[in-house]
Amino acid sequence: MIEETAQLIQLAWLVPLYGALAALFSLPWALGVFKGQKPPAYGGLVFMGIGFGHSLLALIASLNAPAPMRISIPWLNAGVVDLSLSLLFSPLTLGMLTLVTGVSFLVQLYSLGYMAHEDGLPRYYGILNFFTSAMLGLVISDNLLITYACWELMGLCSYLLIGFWFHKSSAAEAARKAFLTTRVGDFLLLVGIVVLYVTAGTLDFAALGAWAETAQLAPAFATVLTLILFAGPVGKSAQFPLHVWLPDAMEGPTPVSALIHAATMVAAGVFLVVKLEPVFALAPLTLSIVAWTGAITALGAALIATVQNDIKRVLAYSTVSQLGYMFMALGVGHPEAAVFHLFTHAFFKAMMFLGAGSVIHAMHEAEHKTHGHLDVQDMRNMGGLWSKMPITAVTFGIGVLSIAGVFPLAGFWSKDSILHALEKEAPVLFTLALITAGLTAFYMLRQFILTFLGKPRTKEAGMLHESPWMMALPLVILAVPSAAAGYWGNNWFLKEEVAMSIATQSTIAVGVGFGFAVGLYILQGNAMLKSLAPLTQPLQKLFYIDVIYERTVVAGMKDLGILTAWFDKNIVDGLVNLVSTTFWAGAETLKYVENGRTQFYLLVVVSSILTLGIFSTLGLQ
Amino acid sequence: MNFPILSAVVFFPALGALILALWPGEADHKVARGVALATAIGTLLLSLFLTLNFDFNSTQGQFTESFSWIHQLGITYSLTVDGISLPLVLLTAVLVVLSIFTSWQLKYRPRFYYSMILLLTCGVMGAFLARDLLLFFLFYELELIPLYFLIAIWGGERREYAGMKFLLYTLFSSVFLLVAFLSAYFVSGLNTFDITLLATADFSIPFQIFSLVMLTIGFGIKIPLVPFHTWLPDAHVEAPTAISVLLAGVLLKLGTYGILRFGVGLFPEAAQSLSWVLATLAAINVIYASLAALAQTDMKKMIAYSSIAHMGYVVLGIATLQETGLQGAVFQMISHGVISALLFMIVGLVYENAHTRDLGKLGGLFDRTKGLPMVGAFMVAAAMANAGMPGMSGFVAEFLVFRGAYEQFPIATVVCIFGTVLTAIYLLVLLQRAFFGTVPTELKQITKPTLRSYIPATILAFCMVGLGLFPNLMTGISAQSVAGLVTQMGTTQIAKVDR
Repeated sequence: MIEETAQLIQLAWLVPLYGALAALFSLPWALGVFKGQKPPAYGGLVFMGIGFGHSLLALIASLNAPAPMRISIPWLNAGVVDLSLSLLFSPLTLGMLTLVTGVSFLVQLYSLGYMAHEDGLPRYYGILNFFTSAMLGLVISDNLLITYACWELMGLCSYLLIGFWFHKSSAAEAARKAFLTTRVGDFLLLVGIVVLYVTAGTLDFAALGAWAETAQLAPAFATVLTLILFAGPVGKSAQFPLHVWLPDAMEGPTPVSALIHAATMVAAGVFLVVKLEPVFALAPLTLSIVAWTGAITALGAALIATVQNDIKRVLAYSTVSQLGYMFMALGVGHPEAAVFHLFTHAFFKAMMFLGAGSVIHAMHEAEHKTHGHLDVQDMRNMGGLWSKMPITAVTFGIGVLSIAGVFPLAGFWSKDSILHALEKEAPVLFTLALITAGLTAFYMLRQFILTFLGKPRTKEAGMLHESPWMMALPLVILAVPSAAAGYWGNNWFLKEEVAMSIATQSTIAVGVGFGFAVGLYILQGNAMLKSLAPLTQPLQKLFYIDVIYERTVVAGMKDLGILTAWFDKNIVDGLVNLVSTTFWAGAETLKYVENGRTQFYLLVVVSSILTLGIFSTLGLQ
Repeated sequence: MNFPILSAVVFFPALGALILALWPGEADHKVARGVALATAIGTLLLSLFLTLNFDFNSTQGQFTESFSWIHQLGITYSLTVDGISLPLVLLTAVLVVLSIFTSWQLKYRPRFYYSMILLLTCGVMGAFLARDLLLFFLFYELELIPLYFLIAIWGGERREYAGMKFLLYTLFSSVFLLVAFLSAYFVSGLNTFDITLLATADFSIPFQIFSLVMLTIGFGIKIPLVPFHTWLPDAHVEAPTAISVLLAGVLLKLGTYGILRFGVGLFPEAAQSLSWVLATLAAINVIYASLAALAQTDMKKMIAYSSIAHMGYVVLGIATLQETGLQGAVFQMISHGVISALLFMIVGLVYENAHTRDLGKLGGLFDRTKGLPMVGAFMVAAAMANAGMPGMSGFVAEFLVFRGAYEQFPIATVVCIFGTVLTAIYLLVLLQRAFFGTVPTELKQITKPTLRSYIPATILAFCMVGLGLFPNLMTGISAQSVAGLVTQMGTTQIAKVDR
């Protein structure tokens, strides 16, 4: 029995391969060898279903297994480099496998409905599955370089999916922005990996942990090393100051936003810091920077989210903000709280993105019927969808309550866990986190009110229908863990006592946030909103961060390129041409290039022999 | 006497060239192509045979053939192959076959064209396999003439300027090489040009430094190192696709191979003291060429600058003089050969079918009906590989170089890693401008490439991913020879200290 269990767990290395196989399967259709749109989609669903089943069985088996299991396959040996494909199967990694395959399956099912009328479905499913495969690889990887490899591959897939509608210039721009912004973080991460490898002599997480226990590093060195390592997560998890790409990434299809830019890839940064926790622990200063980065991001993004009108952008900023919470927990040395929030957030944020997609999909159809031209993602064009799309509305409502942290939904438990950690370690951060919790409640309820309550504000909004079952079913399924995962998680894994004082404080914050939302948007606080307008100006402009980047880094890089190219053409090559012209002018026979080939060749041979003759005579003497 | 396999690899292409030259009557392009392809495939099979019989556990040169040639001057005809030259021979053999595939439609003076390609192959193979300095020099010069003709006859509008520029630069570089080679001969007093013998010679440090500087300038022009690089973008822009493939894929490697084999191999102590110069030059190469690539509007010129930048990683690897870095350098030579060849092929496909390479005029090539979606897929893969995407060969090579170089040259290494960001920037600009968006209406009708024209790119893409996923295939070939080279450098050091 134990052997069977062990085998079941060890065979979990197959799980990432299911995604890769699904991607390969869709290749002939994507390349146009076979005609048709749907077969790769069905293939993807089958593979991902198998993957989910396998992960779930392995997870259940691992709960009874005595110790985590590892697999190691030699991969790269050269000189001092000795790297293996190391995989780790623990309840945590297998749980993540289950989560990722599960969400990916639901997103693919949902996409059947959402993308039904799209051209390029095989390409879509191929990349989506390839992405899932990379994410699964990252989850079970037990080696920093393999993690980095999967990390980069996810970045590639994210680039391709954000740019899925490549005809749209805004999508192309957003795709490039996402890739390059994260690349800046990844560059530093790679530097960090190289330095860490040189210093520690290994990149296996387990070995790194053992090394970190006894390592004697100069504090300054440890701080710099961990900070450049942290740059990677900052980019990938869209933390300040590299957060600018995530809201723009909403140019991609909505299911992609749900899977990649809410539930999985953006959480990879958190996951990496968790795995490198022993190394980060060497530098207390870095840890507090991690916590403060999280706090600034959480608060800033929540503030910006309060004035967004695009249904997806609100969710995007909310994701950035929630990831900030996780980094706060990591910074104060409570990775278990961060991981807990990562799990619950994955469920409710995926569900809300899919819910937003459901609304957008319906709005699109309505717009199609009326031949109107309106922004189908703008919440000001919606209103009163409650009665027309009940499933979407109810599930979205659960999500709103959950993310706001209302007892006893999932978000309450995980946010409480983080607040608990913060209260013990850093009172200032705790206060910021509480304020953010209030803001979260405010903007999420504002979103719900603008979208689902009141009366339809456009003709289109009045004629919507509930989405087909492929889209509604994933919403319903995800609603279950969005509501209950917190309770389960706390009772089965974390086993933490709920502190009444914190629960009370957070509930008060949520109540205040809800109160403002109701006051401003239901009780018609229009006059109030108008008077607040000057205050919201910096928020509308996203704190001017995008503009600053545009004018400094982006423009600077462009100018530097132009300058170098000019220098190369006019100075370097100009000098070369000048020299050759002078040379030609001096040598009568070589004046005309066309006539001089052979002679010139001879001249060079003769002159070199002469030079050598002189030199060697000198040398021999 | 066993079958002289190395001579066969070198001269089989020349035989093909001879057959084409002596072909009775007019040969149309199909016949010429057929002969060339058969010869190239024959050469490839010979090099595969060589690989299969190669002993990967030996640090020595293998299949050595050595005959006294010009006895009085100590010039020998001697060829040998080791784990550093073998991958380059294989790369050359593969790329020559693929470049003939790429030239499938060529109809202008095909006999001359193909015989020049084959002669070029002979020169390159000879240079990689030669163990004698003057024999190397001979082959090195032999490769030059065909390449000049290939650019100057089959090139674009400014082909004569570009061809002449290439010729002058390379001849100029030859002078430095010849000075270094001849002075090594005279100063050593061993009356030989055989590098295994010369490696045992006792050169004074100043002389070593002088020779290494000569070699670095000479080979630096070939690599090319900034500021001797301006011939390359011109040559690439004017050369036909197949020739760009060979130029970027194989010919640039003669430069880095030369520095490694002759510079480091013969003058190890000078290499030790000048390694920081090499590392600095490498970093300058990476940053300067990448920045210059940023502002290019001609796709091919951008790729050419990219190719220059990425040769910098090879030089950085060589500068380490340690196993890890040198392994990385050899890996990067092959990886660069595959990736840049693929990039030039893709640019060629774009130019052939969209009739322009101007990034200001192109757009929307991902489009399924009006564009070139398959080409786009290849371009994404190649661009990502070039930017160091894991899972492809470039990442492994660059990681080995960085890991090897960081301890000795931390700043140069970090600068070089930053080069991967710059690479991503300009290639993403290229993708966005040429492939994203909509097809501009003023663009002429885009033709559809035949399936055959994808064959070379597909093969290269497989190599690129294969080496990225199973890097030990490559490191296993070069491991022993690189280790041998490092040991040899170490013993030279120790021997000197003993004296």
